[in-house]
Amino acid sequence: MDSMLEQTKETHQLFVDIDEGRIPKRVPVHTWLDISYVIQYAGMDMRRANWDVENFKNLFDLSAKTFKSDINAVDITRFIPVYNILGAVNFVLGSSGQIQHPEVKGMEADEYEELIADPYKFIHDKLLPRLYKKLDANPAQRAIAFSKAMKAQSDIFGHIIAHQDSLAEKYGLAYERVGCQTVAPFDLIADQFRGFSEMSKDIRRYPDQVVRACEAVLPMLIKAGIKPHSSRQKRTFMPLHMAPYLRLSDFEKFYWPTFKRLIEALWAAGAAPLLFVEQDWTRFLDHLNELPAGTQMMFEYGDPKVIKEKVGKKHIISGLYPLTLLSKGTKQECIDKAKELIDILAPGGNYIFSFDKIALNLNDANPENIIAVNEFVREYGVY
Amino acid sequence: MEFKSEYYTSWEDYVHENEIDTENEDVIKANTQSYEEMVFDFTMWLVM
Repeated sequence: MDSMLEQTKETHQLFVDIDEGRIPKRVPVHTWLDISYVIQYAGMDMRRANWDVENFKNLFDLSAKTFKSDINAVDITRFIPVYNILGAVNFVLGSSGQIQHPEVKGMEADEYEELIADPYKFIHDKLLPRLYKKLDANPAQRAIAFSKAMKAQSDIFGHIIAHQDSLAEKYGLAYERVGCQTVAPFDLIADQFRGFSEMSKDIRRYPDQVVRACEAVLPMLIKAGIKPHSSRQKRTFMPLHMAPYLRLSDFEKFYWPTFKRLIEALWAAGAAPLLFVEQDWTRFLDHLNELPAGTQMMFEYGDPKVIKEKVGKKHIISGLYPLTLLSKGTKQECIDKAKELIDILAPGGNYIFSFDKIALNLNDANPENIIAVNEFVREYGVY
Repeated sequence: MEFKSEYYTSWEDYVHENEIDTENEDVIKANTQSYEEMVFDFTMWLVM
């Protein structure tokens, strides 16, 4: 156990060095696998395993032993017992056992002023009863459903968090890197409030209200992204959704101002962001470079050389390794790609090796290729 | 930029609205406000 604890300190130090602007001993490897991927790898029935909270720790152990990530690879944020208790329409279990997120609309176009007046009250009064059928009930029934669901979510999170830290010390991994989550104001409203399609129309029909709504939800999203344990090593995860679908002028008017203020507020409170930069943000790299130094950006698409040149000196880069190659490529092709990316992104530090997406299904990435690539990076990525 | 809502009770609001034993405020706060925060966190989880 002592040797594993030493190993944990050494592995964790790779990330600390990057967070503090030093070049680590080698490039750290942070693989992200949805728990559904690990369930399938273990040969379990997804329809049962999503409910079997007690079994989650076995999946964490299996992943830690198998995939050669320097940090826990299992990502689990959606709990089917909670969604079931609430009668969720926004997250539902598909016939294959995979959790699906259909496009939903929890807010009508004529409700912007109500949202702006008190976003948290609006969520409880209007949004939640539309997204969760069991909350569309009389006050007593509603209170009972909410209480049951919150207790379930708290118990499941407690179960997972307790296991994560002991997992690190059991297998010599770094400690968990994500401490909480928030989202960009525009993304919050575009996702489960208005839906992506309606939001695309709202910026033409109600531009001033959209701007004011982003301003109104900002304090709530700052609060969500700051926790007592927030730090450069326990980061605030932020998946970024809608910017690539906006014209530059719309991005600068609707998305960027409150997003930037959110990131600055997190940093000012000691909470370091980890952005999952979904889709292609090439048009916005100069904007990203304006954010406070040390922000981690996990890119899905883009030219690695351009990204390194434009934001890699100031920020921590990860992602960009194509998951599709791990699915179809030969072992050697996969390793060659890892070498190509390390040669571009690792010089000077500020780089954590990870894939461009989170693997959801076993078809997304051949497990043998994941292992081969991660082992290669650990050897080749030595500074 | 402070978060405020009719449905969220900050510790300052709680003290104002309730008779708090000031000598033991630290333990009262630790065992009261944390549940307000838990509801906030759960609410945000439901909409993200």
